[in-house]
Amino acid sequence: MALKGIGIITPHVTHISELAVACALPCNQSDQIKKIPEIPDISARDLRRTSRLCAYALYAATQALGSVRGSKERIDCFAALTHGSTPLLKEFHDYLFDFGADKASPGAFSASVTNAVVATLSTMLCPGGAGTTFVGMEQCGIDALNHAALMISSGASNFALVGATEEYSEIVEQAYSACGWGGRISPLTLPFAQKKGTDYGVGQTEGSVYLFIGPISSIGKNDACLCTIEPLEDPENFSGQVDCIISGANAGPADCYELAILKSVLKAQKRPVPVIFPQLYFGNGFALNGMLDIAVAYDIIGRGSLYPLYPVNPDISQLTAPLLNPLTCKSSLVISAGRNGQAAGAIVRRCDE
Amino acid sequence: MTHPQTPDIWITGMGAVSALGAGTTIHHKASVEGRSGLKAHSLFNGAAPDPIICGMVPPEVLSKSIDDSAKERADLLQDIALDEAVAQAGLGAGCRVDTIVGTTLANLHGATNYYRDIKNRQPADVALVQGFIASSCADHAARRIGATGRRIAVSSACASGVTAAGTALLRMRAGLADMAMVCGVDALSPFVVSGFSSLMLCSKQECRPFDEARDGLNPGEGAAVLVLENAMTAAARGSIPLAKVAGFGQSLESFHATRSHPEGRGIVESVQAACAMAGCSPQDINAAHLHGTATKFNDASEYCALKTLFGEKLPRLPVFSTKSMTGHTFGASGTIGAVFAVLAMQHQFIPPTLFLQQLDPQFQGLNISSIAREVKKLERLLVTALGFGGESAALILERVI
Repeated sequence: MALKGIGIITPHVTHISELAVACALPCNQSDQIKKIPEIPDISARDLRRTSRLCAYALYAATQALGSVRGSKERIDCFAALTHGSTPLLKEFHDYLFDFGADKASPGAFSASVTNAVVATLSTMLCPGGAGTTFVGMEQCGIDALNHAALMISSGASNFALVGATEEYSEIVEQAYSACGWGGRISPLTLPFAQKKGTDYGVGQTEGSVYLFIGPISSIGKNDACLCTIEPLEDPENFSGQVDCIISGANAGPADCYELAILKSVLKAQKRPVPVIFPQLYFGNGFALNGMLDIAVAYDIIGRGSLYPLYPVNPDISQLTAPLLNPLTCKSSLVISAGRNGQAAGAIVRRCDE
Repeated sequence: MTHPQTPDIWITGMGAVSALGAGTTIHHKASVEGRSGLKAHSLFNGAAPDPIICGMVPPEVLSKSIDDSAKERADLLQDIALDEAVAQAGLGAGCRVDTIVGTTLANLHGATNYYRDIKNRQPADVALVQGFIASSCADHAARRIGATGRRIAVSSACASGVTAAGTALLRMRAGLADMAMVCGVDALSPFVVSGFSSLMLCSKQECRPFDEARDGLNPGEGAAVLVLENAMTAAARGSIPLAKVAGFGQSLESFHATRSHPEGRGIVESVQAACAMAGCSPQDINAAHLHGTATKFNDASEYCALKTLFGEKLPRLPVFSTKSMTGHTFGASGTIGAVFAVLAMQHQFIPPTLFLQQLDPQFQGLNISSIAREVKKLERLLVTALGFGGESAALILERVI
């Protein structure tokens, strides 16, 4: 697929150009987006009436569409999420428990349905297309990308907006902290580290990343991005050569699967390859992780940005390169493993490949 | 949209559970007899309107009350349908089969109880939280039968079941899988019952799809599983096809968060896309299982869409809605509808639309009846589903002769 546009919003990033700078320090506490920037042609009134989850997606999707927005081209929308709008679910249940069924909030109910993001994007950005919401673990962002690519390659779709969105929730954070999977302030540990004490892992993040993709034949000189993207359902069996690998390991329960895949992929490489762990800097965004990592891959390959490397598990240290040279990096494998053991991947390549 | 030559996809197993009971045989019998599973219930200790007419799966089916099964009720419902479908398809443990689940809320009731305990400063079971992530149903189903294929959960509100079937169909036509279990499931919960009540969409009586006096839906729960197989590998296995999944289409209306477009634009586009995939025109469809929730707007939108699609043929096209038998089972409704559609083709009859007394005069020419009807040459059936956010999806099923 042609990667024709990319949009992003996280607590410290509102444009792809800010991604690398946001990796200055590892993230060991949860963070939230303080303010959503203005979205062109979306009034403040309409934005105010949109849930935070949908507003994040709207911001990133609008950025990804760029100048294509408003064209008559049919664009399908695919969304991925793990927890959805937990704050709105909480609000609905607060009314229900405090005041009874007669006072349950219709607004909170209809805004917290799982497919609210797709409905919002369709109504406000891409009328006329189809759409599906994928709900799952950390890898489901790339699962949605895989489906969008399938729709395009089968001829069912012409173009697609596909992305992942996650909203911070205290309830989720408390639950995960109780499981020992990271808390508001937790000691930062290496990916794949053994659990120590009751707190480990990165903090929770929120935001949205959206990609605008089309068939390879649609690549044009005026495209903002000059990269291609190829989703993989079985990254563990990938035996091709890449210039860098981006892993979704975040010192959480999916790390064991990430490590197994990394070992397999690294052993197939003809030379040591640098491995980057963006979640250590951005935090754990669940379904958002894989798409955020694709944004990092594009930033390296398409824009030549430099990212820090983190010490890796001794099992794979001899297979990894100690330095990343973005100028010679033309292809990247992104790995995203879910804590249920299912993984997905994507290869991002520069267009002249 | 072009469709290169792709393999036929058969349904080789199916299972269902709803307020009617467990098993496709019971669902067929209820259709023939005109029996409804809707009853007045008192649910959730005040966290739902009391009483409410709904389609609750009879307690004896799960051997657990609705409150005792909060943590995993969707999984339990799915298990029943899954076991029946897998047995019929003859799938063994360790088989490479995709699991595609369509659901709106999965096991949300468990998460509701978790939050209530947190709010009341009671000890809270963290394990309750995981269940409401929809993919947990897919993981559970795959673990139950030892399936090793891809596990995916899709959610498009009340069109989730049909969307799941369509997702499986697309993957199989592209060669990504030879077999898939499509599971549509949703369980009653305080959230869904109170939520729909808060939108004033629930009826205080048994729902009456397309009736002049219709005044809303009845929340329901249930699950249906379809085992889809590549026809060539199925034939090689000696599988008997129950039906062929010929076409799928979906659309987003971009109109309103909870109402469908008055002209049913989304349904029109979905059905046209499904027909294009199936290589037929709407005129070739013999009958239709409609979404038919009995709300004022939904039924009117659907009728407009049918008029646009079928034109002068509409009076000769038998249609039906089964929500007056099962209640509105939300994410499960599309796959339960597909089960009724297959049963209709197998037994050559049109299930009844119960409690329809006086057809709304605006639905001129709608060929619908409150009693079951025998038909001949029922070979191509349409299943439609609509959902919040303007979701629409359509499935075309064909008899394999």
